[in-house]
Amino acid sequence: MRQVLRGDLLKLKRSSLFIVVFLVPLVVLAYELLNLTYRGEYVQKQAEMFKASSMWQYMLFDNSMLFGLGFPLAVTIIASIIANIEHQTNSWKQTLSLPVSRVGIYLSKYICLFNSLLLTATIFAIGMVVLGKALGFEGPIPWGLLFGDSYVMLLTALPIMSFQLWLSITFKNQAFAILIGTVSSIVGLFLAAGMTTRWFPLAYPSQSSTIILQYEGLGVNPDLSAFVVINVFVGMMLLIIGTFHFKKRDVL
Amino acid sequence: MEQHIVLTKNLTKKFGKQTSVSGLEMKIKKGQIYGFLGPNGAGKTTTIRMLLGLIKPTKGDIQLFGQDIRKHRLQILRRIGSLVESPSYYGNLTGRENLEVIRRVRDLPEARIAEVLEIVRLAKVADRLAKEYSLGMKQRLGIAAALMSKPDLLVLDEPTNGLDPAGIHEIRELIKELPDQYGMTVLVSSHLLSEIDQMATQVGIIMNGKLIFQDDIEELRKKQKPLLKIGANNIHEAQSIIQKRGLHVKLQEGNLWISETSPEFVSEINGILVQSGVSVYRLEEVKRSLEDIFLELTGTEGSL
Repeated sequence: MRQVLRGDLLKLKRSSLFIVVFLVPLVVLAYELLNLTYRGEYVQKQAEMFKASSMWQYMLFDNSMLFGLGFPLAVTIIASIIANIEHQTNSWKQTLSLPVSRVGIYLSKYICLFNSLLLTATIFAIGMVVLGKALGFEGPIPWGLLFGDSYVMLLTALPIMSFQLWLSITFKNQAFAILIGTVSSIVGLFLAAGMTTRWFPLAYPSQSSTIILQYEGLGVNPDLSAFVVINVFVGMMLLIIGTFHFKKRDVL
Repeated sequence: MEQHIVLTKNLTKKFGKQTSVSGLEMKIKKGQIYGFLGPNGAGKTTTIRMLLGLIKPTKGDIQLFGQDIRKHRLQILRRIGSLVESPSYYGNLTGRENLEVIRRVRDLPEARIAEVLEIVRLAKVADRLAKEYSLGMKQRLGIAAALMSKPDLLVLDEPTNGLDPAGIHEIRELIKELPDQYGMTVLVSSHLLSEIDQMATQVGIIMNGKLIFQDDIEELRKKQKPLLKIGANNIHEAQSIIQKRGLHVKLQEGNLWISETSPEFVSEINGILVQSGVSVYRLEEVKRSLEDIFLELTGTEGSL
C-alpha cells in the first residue's frame, strides 16, 4: 500500500495538479482582498449591520459562498487529474497487472486526492491569516475558526470526493466527470438556499463556514457538527461502494 | 512440480451476447516461447487480459505456475511481466521515472532500472520525457517495464507493433535470448505469422475465439513440405495407377497431388505414367509458405 502510494506520488510529477491546488484558495483570497480594499467602506457598514464582532468574523462569513463553490470544483478537477494520469495512455492495464490489490490501488488514489485537498484547505487557512494581518484586522487571530473553516470543508466535501473519484476513474472521458462535478457544485449552492433542501448532503460544503448569518447577526454555525458527522459517514459509504465496484470491474 | 506455466481449461469470455473467447485450452511449458497467433479481433488480447486477471472469464479455469488465478492473483502477478497492446507510459515523466514508478510499486532494487534500460537500449534517452519518445522507444520502454522484476513469465501482446524493421529485429533477438539467459517463459502474440515463425518454439493459432492449432512450430513447418502437382490427360486412370503402387495421392482441381518431390521419385512416377499410356503434361513442385498454411488453418481460403 505504501509502495503504491509512493508510485502514485511520482506519477503526479510535472502534472497540473499543483496549479489547481494553489489556484482555488488564491482566487478566493484575491476576491476577498479586492472586496476588503476597494469596497472597504461598504464592507465596514455591512460588518456593523451584521453585528460582526471583528473583521475576522466578517471575512469568514463573506468568503464562505465562494469557497463553498470553489472547493467542490477543486475536488472535481483534482480527481479528474489523478484519474486521467492513468487514462491518458491506458495505463490502467499496466497498473492493475502489477502485484498489488485493486483495493490498495483505489485507496492510494483516494489518499492522493484527500492529501491534495488537505493542502488546498491549509493554504486557504494560512492565506486568511496572512490577509487579515496584512489588512490590519483588530483583535486576536481566531485560529480555531480560521482553520475550522477550512478543515470542516474538507470533511463535508468527502462524499463529493468519493463520488468524483469514482466517476473520473470509471469513465474515461473526463469531460463527463467535470461536467457532473461542476453542475453539482452549483446545484449545491441552490440547495443550500432552501429551508429543507439545505439538509441534503450535497448542500453542506457551501454551508460549511464556521461563521454564518443568523437572525441576531453573525455567529458560530450551530449545524457544523451534524454536517460533519453525516458527510463523513456518507463519504465513507460512497468510498466503500466505489472501491467495491472498482475491484469487480473488467479492465479493457 | 510445475509442469505447465500456463494452463487454461475451457476458457470462455462473453461480452453480452458476443463470444470473444470460447473453450480455449492453452498449454505453455517452462522455457518455451509461445507464439500466440491470430488475425485481428480473434481474441488474443482478451485471452491475455484474462491471464493477467484484468478481466474475469465467463467460464473456465486459468492456472499459472500451477496456481488458480482467482485464488492467488497477487502471487502469480509477482512472477509475471507484461506489455498489453499499446505501451502504457506516463508522458509527464522521463523514461527513467516511468521505470522508477514500477520499481517503487514492486519494491525492487534501484540498480535494476539501469540494467533494463541497457537491455532495451534506452539508456541514452532515459532522462527525456516519455511523451517525446518515438513509438518504437515507447514500445521498448514498455518492454523494459515488463522486464523490471525479472519475471518467470513474460507476456508480450503485439510487442513489435509500430516498430521499424531494425527495431523489430532487435526485439525479436531480445525475446529469443530470454529463455536461455534468464530462464524465462515467453508468451508473445502477433497477427503476423512471419514474426512468430522467427522467434517462437510453440505456436497457438486462435481464430474466432477458438484455438485451432497448438503445437511445436516444427509441426507447423512439416505442413509446409512441398507437394508434387501432376497434370495428365486421363487423370482418373493416372490416379489409380499411382494408388496401385501404394502411394498416397489426392485429386484436386483436376490435378494430382503427392507429398513426395525428390527428383528420382518424380522421374520414376513420370516413367510409370507414360509407359501406361497416360500423357503427362505437367510435373510441378509447389511450395507452400507458412502464410498459405495459416490461411488454410484459419479457413479464409479453400482448403487443400
